[in-house]
Amino acid sequence: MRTPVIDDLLTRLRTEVPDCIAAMAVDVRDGALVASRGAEDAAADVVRELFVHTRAVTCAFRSADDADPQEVIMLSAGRAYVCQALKQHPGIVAAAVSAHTANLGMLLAVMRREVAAVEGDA
Amino acid sequence: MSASPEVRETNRFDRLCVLLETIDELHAGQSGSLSFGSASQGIVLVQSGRVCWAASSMMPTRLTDRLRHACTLSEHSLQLIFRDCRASGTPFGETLVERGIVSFDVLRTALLQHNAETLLQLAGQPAPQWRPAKIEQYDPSLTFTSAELLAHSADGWWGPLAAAARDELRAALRDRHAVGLSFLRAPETADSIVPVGFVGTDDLSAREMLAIGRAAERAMQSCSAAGGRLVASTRADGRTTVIWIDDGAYYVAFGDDRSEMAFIVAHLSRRALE
Repeated sequence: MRTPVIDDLLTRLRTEVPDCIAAMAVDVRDGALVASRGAEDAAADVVRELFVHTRAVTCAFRSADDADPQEVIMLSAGRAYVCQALKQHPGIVAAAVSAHTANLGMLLAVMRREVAAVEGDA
Repeated sequence: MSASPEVRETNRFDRLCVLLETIDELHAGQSGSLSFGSASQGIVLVQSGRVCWAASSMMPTRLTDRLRHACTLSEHSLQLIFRDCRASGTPFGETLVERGIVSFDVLRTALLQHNAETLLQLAGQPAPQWRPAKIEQYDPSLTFTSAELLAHSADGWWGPLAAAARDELRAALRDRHAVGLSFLRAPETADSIVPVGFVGTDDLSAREMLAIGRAAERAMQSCSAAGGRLVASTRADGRTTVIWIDDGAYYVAFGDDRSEMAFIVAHLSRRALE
């Protein structure tokens, strides 16, 4: 479900997140790319898979049942994905993809700040 | 074409998982024995749900062989002590520790590897028969959980790689308050993963360890197209799961404290991004 709030968030992520290559909103229930700033469908699939499979790992430990991820990071040799579930938009995840040279702490801090701003937590 | 020795061993490893799950679930907390085939073929003694002794007529290596390498006594001298212990009903390993012949840690490691590798051998046999019995004479610290046995069962042929994976796990977690697990990748097995180590918990079951390993493998496979080498997932309450792959092994860490886990991610990310 694309909304002006999501569009505004992606624009801010694309400009504020260090070394940002792409920003997107993904419906992790079906992997649909809800909105994008430079991201392709394949990136949406990666985000969905990250949420589904890390949830499964968490569930496997002590049979945790409340395992829905709030934040997921993926690091590769060339990219860093930082993803945040949006509380005001159930099932929708905002994600920013940066070059691997970006400072991870800064990525997380900016992502949390921008998401909190549009979610009304700031 | 016949299967290679390694493939035959890994198929047996898959059966070991089933055997250990049997001990954990069908006989949870119970004491008794699992008898394989005829009485002389093999036996596993279980005390309060933990394996204390496993013996197989097909095992080429005996516990005394393992201990002989760790002490200065001759095989003959060890055999004499072993016979005395058997005649008097005294536990052999504890006797060696009491007499200062081996340290407790050496005994425990030798006993763990002996039991784990014997179970792996026995897992290739038809399903055993369970006989409840009153077994209470073993020192509880010399009995083993299914997860410990599972994590050491592959040492016979993957020992150096398994030891390296355990070292990597300990180095990554250091003194952080986290539970960690390590797995080797074995594409020829049904599960493609072989659990080889864990830290930070005493109450992990073989089933739980396998379930975590299988899920972690799927998670890393799912992001392999994007070159993913490390994934960290945090819940709203701060509890965090970190999965990473390094040098052919999978690792998983669970922690309750977001900041504690951030140290682990920071340490690992420097290498993941190299």
